[in-house]
Amino acid sequence: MVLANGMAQMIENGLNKNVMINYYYLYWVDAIISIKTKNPNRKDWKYTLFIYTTLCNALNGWVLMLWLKFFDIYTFRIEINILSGSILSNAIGFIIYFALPFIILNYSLIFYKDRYKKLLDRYTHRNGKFAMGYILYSVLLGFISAVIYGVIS
Amino acid sequence: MQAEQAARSQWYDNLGVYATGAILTAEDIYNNFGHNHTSYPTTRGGMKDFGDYKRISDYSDQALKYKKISNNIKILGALGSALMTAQAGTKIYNEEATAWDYGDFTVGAAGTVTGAAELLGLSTVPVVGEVVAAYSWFRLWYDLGDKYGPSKWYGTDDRKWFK
Repeated sequence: MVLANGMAQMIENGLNKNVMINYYYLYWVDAIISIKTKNPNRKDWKYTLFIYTTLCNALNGWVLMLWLKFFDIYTFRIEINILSGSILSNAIGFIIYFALPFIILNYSLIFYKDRYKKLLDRYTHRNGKFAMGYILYSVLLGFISAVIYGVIS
Repeated sequence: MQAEQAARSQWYDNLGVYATGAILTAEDIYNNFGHNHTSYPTTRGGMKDFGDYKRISDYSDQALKYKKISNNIKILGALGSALMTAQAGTKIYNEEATAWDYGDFTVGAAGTVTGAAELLGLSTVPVVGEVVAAYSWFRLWYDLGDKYGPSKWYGTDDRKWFK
């Protein structure tokens, strides 16, 4: 019985992992096909979509770390002293601490050797609504977390 | 002497940061108020629509030039919104944020959502891009004034003149 439960758990975990990867690719395919259909003349789409998506990914990581810090589970301080001007240092700090893993992940899984072209045939698109939903969710989650954290901390 | 050198170095660093900010902000203003991304001035002084062309290979040199500018400033616009959110995010995480940083975070986030919706070809609220650009411009000059304005011309002691 215990073994059966453990097996069931493993299968479930495996399926969940696949679902997460599928959603990740589904997002990209939905966004790319939506752009290609509705904005076919935009040549900047690769860079712009990469920036927006990576920012949303980073914001999700930022929200997670913000709450881990609030509950004293995991705390660190973002400190980059490349330039004494704080605006640029802060932006670089955010990029290194939160965005860099996603920059590497998104580039290697989607844009390296035009991997997205193979994905376009494998996944169906949803008129950009799935992609927009993810962007909206990430930004709203970031905004709400920032406000709540600011008020209670 | 060392303190003076450090202060001078800080001044140049800040200047570099503001110069970068000014370029990105000016680009954002041009993106939203200057370049309409749908038409371009022809060499004969008229205006032509990008939509007149069916394929990018049919563009004239002049159209291509303006199309390239349009593409580049859109990338910089996306980068500007992302950087504004990012720098405010760091300050909020480090618990050093002021009301301005929450404003930066909100405006950057709004710019990201609007830019993404426009990129995906979905309907957007028309004035958000312009508001983001205007806010960035105001924010830059406010910050410059705060650090280098008349109140700092005679040192950090605002009452020095009266003494």
